[in-house]
Amino acid sequence: MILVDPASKLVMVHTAVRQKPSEDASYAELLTMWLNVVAQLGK
Amino acid sequence: MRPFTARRQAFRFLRARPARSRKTWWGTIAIFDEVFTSRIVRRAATPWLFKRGPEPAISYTFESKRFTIADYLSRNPTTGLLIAKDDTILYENYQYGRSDHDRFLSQSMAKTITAMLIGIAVAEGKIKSIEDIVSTYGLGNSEYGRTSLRNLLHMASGVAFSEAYDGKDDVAQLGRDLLAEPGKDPVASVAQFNTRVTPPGSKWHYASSETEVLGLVLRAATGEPVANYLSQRIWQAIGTEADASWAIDSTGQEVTFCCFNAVLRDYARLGRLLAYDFCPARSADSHSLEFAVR
Repeated sequence: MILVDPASKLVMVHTAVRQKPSEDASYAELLTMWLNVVAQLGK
Repeated sequence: MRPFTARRQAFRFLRARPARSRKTWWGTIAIFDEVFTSRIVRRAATPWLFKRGPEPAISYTFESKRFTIADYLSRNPTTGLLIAKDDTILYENYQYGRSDHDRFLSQSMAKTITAMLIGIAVAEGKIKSIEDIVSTYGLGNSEYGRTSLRNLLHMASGVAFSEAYDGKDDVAQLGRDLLAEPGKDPVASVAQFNTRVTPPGSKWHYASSETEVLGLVLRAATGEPVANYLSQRIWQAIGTEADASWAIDSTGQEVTFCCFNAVLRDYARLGRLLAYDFCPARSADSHSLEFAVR
């Protein structure tokens, strides 16, 4: 997954091996971390 | 890239393990482009290099507990994690024996790449308009053939296609058609999904088949393999440091809904291109992305 915040030019690349392409709980934690990356580094 | 014999051996190996273990699956993904026949996406002659910045102390709260990035990595099957801000890498880490030299399998990131190439083909006049219907590009009389590129880009064709990831769904059938031997013609494979359940453009429904159709349109419109088009229009232009690869079916067509492989920093270069909305001239560092996507 490539997450991009155009405003701050932050990019996060995440690769993982999961049983299924979408595992909701795992994505929830990844997205939570990403939002904190943007909040803390995006200024 | 190993020949088809290796592909046959790989499928025999996997078939012998119906209760596929995570360890086995990890091994397959780690060498995906060695197991499945792939086409190289050539890197830039001279790579554009990221700067390095101090590693930040990132923390986050999840399920009422406080975690760090190290905690995240210990809790998740992450093989690679990279954080960059514009031209500077702030964090880069690999697990499970992977390194910055390994290509990582993209599942659906490949869909974004395919969509970007459709946009470039439109800009170059090779595709007249995203309002064109698929049959304009010689892809037959089917429901997908009667669907516009716009509706495929929006995943709103209205054609029934299931993705439950249970091994019995339509995406599993598509994958078997294209990646298992003896292999099926991709046009025939996507044409088997031919039941329109909603009017085109009326409902979003995630369907890998729609990106596969876009890949076929791209090949027909540009007259060259998708991997080559990607290399010439994007991969070399953003200064990639390593060759990428894209799995191909038995006809030599890239499996465009998935199966793209690249090193982590090149995915970050692609992400940076997206951050600049394809307009690198906006970059403060005029040397960082000196190219123009036509």
